[in-house]
Amino acid sequence: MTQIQRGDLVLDIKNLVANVAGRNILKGLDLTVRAGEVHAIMGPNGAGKSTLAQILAGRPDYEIKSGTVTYLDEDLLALAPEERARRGVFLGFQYPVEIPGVNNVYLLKAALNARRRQAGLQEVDAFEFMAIIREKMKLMKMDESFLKRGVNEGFSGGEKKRNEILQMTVLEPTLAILDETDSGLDIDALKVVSTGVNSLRQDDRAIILVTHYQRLLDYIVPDYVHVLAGGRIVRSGDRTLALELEERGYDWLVEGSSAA
Amino acid sequence: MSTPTAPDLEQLVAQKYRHGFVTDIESDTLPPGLNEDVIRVISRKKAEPQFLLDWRLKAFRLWQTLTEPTWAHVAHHPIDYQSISYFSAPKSKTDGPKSLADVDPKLLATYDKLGVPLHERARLAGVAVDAVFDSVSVATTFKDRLHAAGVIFCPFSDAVRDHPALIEQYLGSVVPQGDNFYAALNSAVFTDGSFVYIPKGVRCPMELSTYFRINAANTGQFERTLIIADEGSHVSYLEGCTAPMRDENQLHAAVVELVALESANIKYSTVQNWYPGDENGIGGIYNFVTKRGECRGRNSRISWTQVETGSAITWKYPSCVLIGEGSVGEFYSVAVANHLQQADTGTKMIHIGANTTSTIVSKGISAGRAQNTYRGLVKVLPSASGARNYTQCDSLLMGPDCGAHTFPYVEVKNPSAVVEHEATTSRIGEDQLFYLLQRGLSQEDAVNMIVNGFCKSVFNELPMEFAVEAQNLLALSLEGSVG
Amino acid sequence: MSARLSPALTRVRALLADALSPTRLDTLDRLIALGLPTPRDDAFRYTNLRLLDRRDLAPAAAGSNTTTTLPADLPIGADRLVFLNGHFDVALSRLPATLRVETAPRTTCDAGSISAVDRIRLLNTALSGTHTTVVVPRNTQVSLDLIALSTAGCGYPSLTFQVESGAQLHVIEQHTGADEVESLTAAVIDFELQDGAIADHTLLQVAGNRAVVIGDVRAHVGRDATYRHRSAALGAQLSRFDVTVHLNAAGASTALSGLFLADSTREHHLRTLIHHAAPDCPSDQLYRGVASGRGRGSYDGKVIVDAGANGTNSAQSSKNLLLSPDASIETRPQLEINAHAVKCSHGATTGSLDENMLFYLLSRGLDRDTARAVLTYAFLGDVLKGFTPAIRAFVEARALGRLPAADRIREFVA
Repeated sequence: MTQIQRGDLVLDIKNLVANVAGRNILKGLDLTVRAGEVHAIMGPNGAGKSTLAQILAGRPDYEIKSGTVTYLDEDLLALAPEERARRGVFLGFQYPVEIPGVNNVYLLKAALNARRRQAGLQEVDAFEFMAIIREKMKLMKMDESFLKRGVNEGFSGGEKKRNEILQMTVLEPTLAILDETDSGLDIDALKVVSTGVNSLRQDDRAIILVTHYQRLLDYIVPDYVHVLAGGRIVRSGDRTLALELEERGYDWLVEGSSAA
Repeated sequence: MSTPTAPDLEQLVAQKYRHGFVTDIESDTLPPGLNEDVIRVISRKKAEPQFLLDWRLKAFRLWQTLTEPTWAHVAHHPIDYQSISYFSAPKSKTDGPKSLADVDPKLLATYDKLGVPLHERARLAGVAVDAVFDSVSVATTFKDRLHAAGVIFCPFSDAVRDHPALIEQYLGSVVPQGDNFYAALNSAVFTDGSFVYIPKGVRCPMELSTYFRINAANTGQFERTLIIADEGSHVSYLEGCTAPMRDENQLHAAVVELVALESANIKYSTVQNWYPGDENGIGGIYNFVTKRGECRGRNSRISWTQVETGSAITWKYPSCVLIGEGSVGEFYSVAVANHLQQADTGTKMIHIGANTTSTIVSKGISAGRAQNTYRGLVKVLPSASGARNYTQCDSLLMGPDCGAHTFPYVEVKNPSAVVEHEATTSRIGEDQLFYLLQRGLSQEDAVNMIVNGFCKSVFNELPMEFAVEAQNLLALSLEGSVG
Repeated sequence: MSARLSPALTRVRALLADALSPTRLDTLDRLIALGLPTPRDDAFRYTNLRLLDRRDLAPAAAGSNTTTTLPADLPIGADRLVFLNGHFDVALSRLPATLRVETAPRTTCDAGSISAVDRIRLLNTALSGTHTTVVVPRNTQVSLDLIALSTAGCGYPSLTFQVESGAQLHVIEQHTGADEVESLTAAVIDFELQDGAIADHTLLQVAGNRAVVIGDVRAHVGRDATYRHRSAALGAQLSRFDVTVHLNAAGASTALSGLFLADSTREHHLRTLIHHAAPDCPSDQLYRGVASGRGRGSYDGKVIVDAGANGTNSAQSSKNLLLSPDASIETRPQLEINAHAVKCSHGATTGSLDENMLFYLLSRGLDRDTARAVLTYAFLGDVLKGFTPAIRAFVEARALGRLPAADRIREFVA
C-alpha cells in the first residue's frame, strides 16, 4: 500500500447514473473526496443516499447506466465487493444483516487478514487479534459476551450500529462510508459511535457520513456538507449548510433543483 | 375449560341455516341417471355445436375410466351417480328467459330473499350479476354497460351460441376433461355457468358476480365458469352460493378455468355458503370443485380469495399455474367447519416461469365435531429461477371434538427459489378472550372479534361490499362455538 | 392398491425357498404380494427404491473373520453392540455387565393392516436371522455404541431396546462400510421406554458411497419418559429413515433433530411421525437439509394429535438449502390435530443462500467461496449444537470435507 497523504484524491465520482429495479435513482452525481476529509451527505428520504452507499460497496442489484467512480486511481466499479473491501472501502450498513451461527470475532479476524494480505502485510494470529479487538471493544463500550455471539445475532438496533463501527475501527479503512449510522441510536449510543468514528479521523483516511439529520454532525463535525436530492448533489457547503437545513428543511433546495 | 356451560353452548351452536328455503317453481328436470344419451339430451336442449357434444362425450368416456380420489381427509357414504338428475331448469313459458322481464317473478323473489342484488339494488351496488339457479343462468344484469366496454359477461350457454370460437379455444385448456374424477364428470354434464372475456387493455368497469343456487331435489349442479383476461386487462369476479335445507346430500361439482394473458389481472372471490347439513350431519351439499388459473403471460396475476362456510363436504383447491415470467399467484382462504362439516381445501402453486411469486394465506377454523384440512402444494420447477413463495397457514380450534389438519407439500427443484412455509394450530386464546370479557364484551362478541382478527388478512382481500357479508356469515357459522 | 412387482424379491425367494423357515417364507410371500414401497405410496412419495431392483437382496452370511476391524475414525466408546452385515456379532461387541442381551429367532411381523413402512419391516422380518433384545434394567444407566458395519451384501439388523423405568440409555447408532461395497442395510430398531425412562439415540449414517441404508425406528414412550433422537445423514448412495414416536402416556416427551448433506448424486430421505396419544406431551423437531450437485433430499414430518391429547405442545422446523441447479429438496410438514387445547406450529423453508448475508461477508473482504461455505456451515449450526462435542467433531469433520474452503471456515461457526 502506497502511503496516502492528506489531500490525495481518494474518491472521484463523475456523472454517475444508476438504476434500481428499473427505476432511475442517481441522475448524474458528481462527488470528490480527498484524504483527511469528512463529508456529510444529507437529503430527503428517497433521494438516493443509500443507493450511493450501496453502489460504492458493490451491491449487485444496482445497475450503473453511465459515469465513472475512481478510487485511488482504480476503476472502483470494475472491482468485486470483496476486492473493494480489501482495498480499504468500508460500508457501515444502515440495516446490518443478522447471520446466525457465524461468529462475530472470527468474521472480523478473517476480514482483517484479508485486508492485510492484500496490503502485503503479515496476517495477525489469534493472540494479536484478541489484543486488538479487546482494545477496540473498550473504546466502543461493548462487553465480552459479544465475542461469543453470531454476527449481529439478536443485537438491538443500537448494538448493530456499534458493531459496525467496531468493525471499522479494527479494519482501519481508507474510505469509510457510514450509511445512516445515527438512525435508531439514543444519545449515549450516539456519543459512543461518534467517539469511534472520530478516533479514525486521520490524514490518510476519508469518511462519508450519510445522514438524514443534523444531530450526528454535532458530534462528528464534517468538513463538507452536500445535499443529495433527485439523484444529484444539488448544493454543497460547509457545516453551516447542515444547520441551515435543520432550520429550513429540504423543500427549498428540492424545489430549486427541479426548477433548474 | 371454564366460562360457558355446556347447555349454553349447545344453544349457541344450534344456529340455523338462514338460506334454507325451497322455491316452488315448476322445473324441467331430466330423470336420474347418466349415460351418453343423457349427455346428448343436455347438449341438444342447449342447441350446442357438434364440437361441444364431442367434447362432452370424450369427457364422459374418460370419466368412466377414473375413480373417485380417496386421498382427501373426508369421509362420506358412496355417491350413486346414477341416482342424480343431471339437468334441472326452471320451466318457463318461453324457451328460456331472455331478459329480466321474462324471469319467473317467483324466482326473482327467491333472489330477493337471498339478497342477490338484481334490479336497482344491483345498479346501486355497481355489481353485474349472473344468477345460476339449479343448472341454468336465468338473468344477467348490466349486459349493456359491459357491452359498451367490450366486456363479455354472459351465461355459459349464451357464450357457446354467440362466441363459439372463444369457447372452442379455451374450454378445457386449463382443466382438461380427464384432469380428475369430478372435473371429468362436470365436463360431461355441465349445464351452465358464467363466461367472461375482458378484451385487451380493458379494466372491467364494475365487479362481476354470479350467484349459484341449487333448488330442485335430487339434482346435481355442475356449472362451468371460464374467464379470459386478455393482455393488460383487469377483472374482479365474485361468486356466492346457497342451497335449500334438504336431508339428503346433493352433489355440486363445478369447474372454474381462468386464463390471464400478459399483464392481465384476475381477482376471483368466492363466498361459499351451500347448505352444510344440520347439527347431526344430515343433509348438506357435497362440494367437489376444480378451480384453476393459468398465468400465461408475463407479469400476469391471478388471485383467489375464498370464504368457505357452507357444504357438508368441501373438496376444493383453487390453483395457479405460473407460466409467464414474473407472474403472480395468490390464495387467500378462510374455511370454517362446524358441526359435522368436513373441509379439505387449499391450493396448488406451480411455478414454471422465472421470477414467479406466490402467496398463500390460509385460515382454518374448526368447531363442533368438524374436520378442517389445509392441503397445499408449492412446486418450483427447474425453469422457475428466482421463484418465491410465502405460505402462512393457521388453524383455530374451537371445541374438544373437532380436528384441524395441515398437509403442505413443498417441492423445490431450482436453487434460486425461496420458499417459506409457516403454520400454527391453537385454540382460541383464553387470555385474549378473558381480556375482552373483562372489558365488558359478551362471550359472542368477544369470540367474533377474535375470529375476525384471525381472518382479517383474508377479509382484506375481498371486495369491500362482500367483506362485510363474509364477516356476518362467519359469525353466523360459529356463533357461540367457543368452549 | 396395485402392487408393483419387485424383481429383487422374487429372485431372493427363488434363492432362499429351501433355506427359510415356513413362517419367514410366508412373510416374504406377503411382501411379494404387496411389493416394495414405491412413490405411489404416500409415505414414499419422495423415495424411489427402484435401484434395489437390480440388487441381490439375500442376506450376507453371519460371522466375522479375524481380519474384520471397525473403521478407525468412528467415535467409538468403551461398550458397543456390533452388527456385522446385519448379524449381531459377539466377537466384535463389548457389553457392559448390567445389560441383558437376548437373541431369538425372528418371529413374524403381525401387523394387521400393512402400511408402506411396515413393508420394510416385513422385508427385515423375512430376511433377518435373529432378533436381539437389549434390556436396560431399572434405574441403571448405560452408554453404548450400536455399529452396523457392512462389508458385503445385505444386512437386516433387528433390535429392540427395552429401557425399564427410571433407566437411561445413551446409544450411538452408526452405519458404516467401505465405499466400494454395494451393500443394503434394512434395519428395524424399536425403543420401549417404561415410565420415567430416557433414551438418547444418536444416528450417524456414514455408510459407503454405494450403500443403500433404510432404517425403521419406532419408539414407544411411557409416562414421563423421554426419547431423544439426533441424526446426521452423510454417506450412502441412498438413505431413508422413518422415525416414529408414540407418546403413549402423560408427560412423555420427544425431541428429534437432524441434518443431511446430499452432495453429488446422493439421496437422503427422512420421514418422521410423532403420535401424541396422551395429554401433556411436548414434542420438538429441528431439521436442516443441504443438497448440492445432483443430490436429492426430502423431509416428510407428520404430527398427529389424538382426541383428548390436550396440553400437547409441538414444534417443528425444517429448513433446507439448495446449492446447485440440479439439486432438489422436498418437504412436507404435516399436522393432524384432533384435540382442542393444543399448541402446534411448524415452519419450513427451502431456498438458496441469503444474498444479504453473502453481500455482508463479501463487503468485509471474504472471498465468495469462503463466504458461501461459512453460510452453509452456519446453516447447520442449530443441529450441530445438539450433538455431544465428540460426535459434533466427527460430524463436522465428515460434513466439512464436503464443502469448499473447508479448512478456512471451521473457526467461523459460533
